Amino acid sequence: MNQCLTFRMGAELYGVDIHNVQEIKGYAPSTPLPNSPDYFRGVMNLRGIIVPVVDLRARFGMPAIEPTRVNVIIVVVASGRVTGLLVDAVADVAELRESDIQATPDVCGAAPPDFVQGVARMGDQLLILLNTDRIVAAAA
Amino acid sequence: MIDVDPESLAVFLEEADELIADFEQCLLLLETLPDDREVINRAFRAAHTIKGGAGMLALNPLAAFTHELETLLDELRDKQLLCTQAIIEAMLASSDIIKAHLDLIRDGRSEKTSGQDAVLGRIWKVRAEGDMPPEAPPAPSAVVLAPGLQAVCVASTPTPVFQPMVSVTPVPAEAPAALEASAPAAEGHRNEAGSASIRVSIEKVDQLVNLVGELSITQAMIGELVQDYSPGKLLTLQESVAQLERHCRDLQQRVLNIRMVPVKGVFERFNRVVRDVAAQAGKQVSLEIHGEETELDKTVVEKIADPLTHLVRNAVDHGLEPTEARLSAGKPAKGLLKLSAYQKGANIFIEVQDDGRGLDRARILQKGRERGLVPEGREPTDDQVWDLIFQPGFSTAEKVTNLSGRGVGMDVVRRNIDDLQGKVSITTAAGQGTTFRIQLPLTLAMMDGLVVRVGKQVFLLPMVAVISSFRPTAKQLGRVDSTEVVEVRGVYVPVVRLYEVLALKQRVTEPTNAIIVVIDDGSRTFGLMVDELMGQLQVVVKSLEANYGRVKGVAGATILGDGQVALILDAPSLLGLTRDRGGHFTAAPGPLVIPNLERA
Repeated sequence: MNQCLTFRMGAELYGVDIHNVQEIKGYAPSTPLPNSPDYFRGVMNLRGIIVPVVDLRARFGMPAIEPTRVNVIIVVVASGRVTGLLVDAVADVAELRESDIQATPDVCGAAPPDFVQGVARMGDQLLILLNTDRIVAAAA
Repeated sequence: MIDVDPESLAVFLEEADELIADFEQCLLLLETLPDDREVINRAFRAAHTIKGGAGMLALNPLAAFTHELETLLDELRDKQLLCTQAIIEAMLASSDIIKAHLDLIRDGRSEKTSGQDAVLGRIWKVRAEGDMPPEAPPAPSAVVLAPGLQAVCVASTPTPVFQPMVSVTPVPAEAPAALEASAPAAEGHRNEAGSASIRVSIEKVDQLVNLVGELSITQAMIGELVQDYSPGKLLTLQESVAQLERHCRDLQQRVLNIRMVPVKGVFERFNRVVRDVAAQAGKQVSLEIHGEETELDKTVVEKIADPLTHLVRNAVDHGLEPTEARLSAGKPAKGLLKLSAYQKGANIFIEVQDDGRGLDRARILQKGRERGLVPEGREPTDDQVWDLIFQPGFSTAEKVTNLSGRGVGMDVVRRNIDDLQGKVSITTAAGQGTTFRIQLPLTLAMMDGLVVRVGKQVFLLPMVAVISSFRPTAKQLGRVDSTEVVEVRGVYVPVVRLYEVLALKQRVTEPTNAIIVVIDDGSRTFGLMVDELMGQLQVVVKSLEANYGRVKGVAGATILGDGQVALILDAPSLLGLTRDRGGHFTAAPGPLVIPNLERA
């Protein structure tokens, strides 16, 4: 991983490989899908393509917030699928060297261990690197 | 393993499918006109082009085999041989071998096929039996084509070159771009490799290019007007916007038109099917084809081939009587099978019509009773009786033949047609024949939908499944065996509450305040309860599966005028959803178990 897009949810800082990121959109209401898991906000229209939106807070079991326009949907592409990830706010693009990344500790914020690829220190904060493929695969 | 550029391979396979269809067509023509030079030339060109393409892609087993076929055709062309029935039979067998080769190649294998040597032997035999002493047949092992080597037999006719698809590469300047440009695409049931692309005439693409040019001019005009706007320019602005609308509509229509291909490609193959099945069944059949220029969505054309084949085989094997029976019934010895396609409104109809014995009502009904499909003492209508033959495993054939009678088939036909959002109906008259009429939507990309609202959410129901809608009175509602029912024109049908099966929050729970939409998929009827009807829309169908997955009860999605996504419901399957949860409604109205829709 060379560059990663970092974003915030609650007090924690997360990151996804920038190669997986297609674009970043402001939050807009989506159409709910019948009988889908809670963390699914539904589907949105991305220039004519139907894209599912996963509420990452809900996915990680964090307290829900009612999203507004200041919240952000990160559109990621993994395993050939396009998925929107609803997060609090985008932080930055961070440069990471392979040596900066450490193995996942046992406890790693709210994220289920399956979804975490590793952690890296960013100044005085811990950056949790997410495995986009797994998140997208588990979403569908 | 085949180690070539997958795109070139896909182009080759698609073109080879068309060529082999054309080749067979020629052979069938030769049966009646054995001396027709033009037809022999066409067949030669088809074989030659397949060989050339196979050689170029280093598909050596196919190239070597086709080379033998080409040699035979070359001798026919040069009148060294006379075109006899034996030769035509041998070439038809070769055509099957080439098709087997193509299927193997689709599976990623380039090797000799079983039965290939026997057919080669036949080719050599018919050549040896010909009038002129042929040169010694080359041993098959001697023919190994190097990649790129395609002109082993120098043809005096112009050598057709693989026509690149417009989407892939530009046509090289020296290639004859207009080569049989009008030849309709022969499509059919194919694996992914063949179906991923579509051939479009340059003309259609040019029209699009023109239109897009117009569109950007209009857009620039509007841009200028808006940038430097004054109230005096309102009229010009309105005119420009109107023009923009016209261009958009035009563009939409033409883009959809690209997906449309003539049914000819599918229909043509039935010449061969009918010929073979008739020969096997020992019957004389003539096939009439009407409306082969009718255009259908490419996806539909591909998927309709299999069910049509079933219907055609059935018609020849079951529908038409044996020759003696026909003669004693005062009919011509030769049975007539009519295959026709036509457009009516937003639907395409395909009919398979025979002048045979007609469906045997008594026997079908008896079988139906034996299998418990029709309760004793109940007298079903004609249509209900005909409907029985679409039941899985239903067959009235006394003897199981190689062709049909195993009772598999008709249910598959119904399912395939359902998948295409189509319907199949039967008209039959004893002693006069049977017609199977398949009704298909013009395209799967667009759909007429009824917009309904439940709570805050808006859904679309495919119009093709909607019969009527009404607000029920208390008198029309009732319960049968604890199932909620509603009376529709004197018949009680089950009620499906949309908010229940989709687990939606806000809703009207009192049926007399709601709307019942009557849904019928051809075999089952039920009333779907929604809050409100919002109108009717023609929409573009989008896939939900591409990025998410299949959701039970949902056929797809579309984007409404305001940019929001609306779900298109698979209306007939909603009845199944209520049954999935045990099939029992509690007798007393109260909180019902909300079903868990599974995603496949």
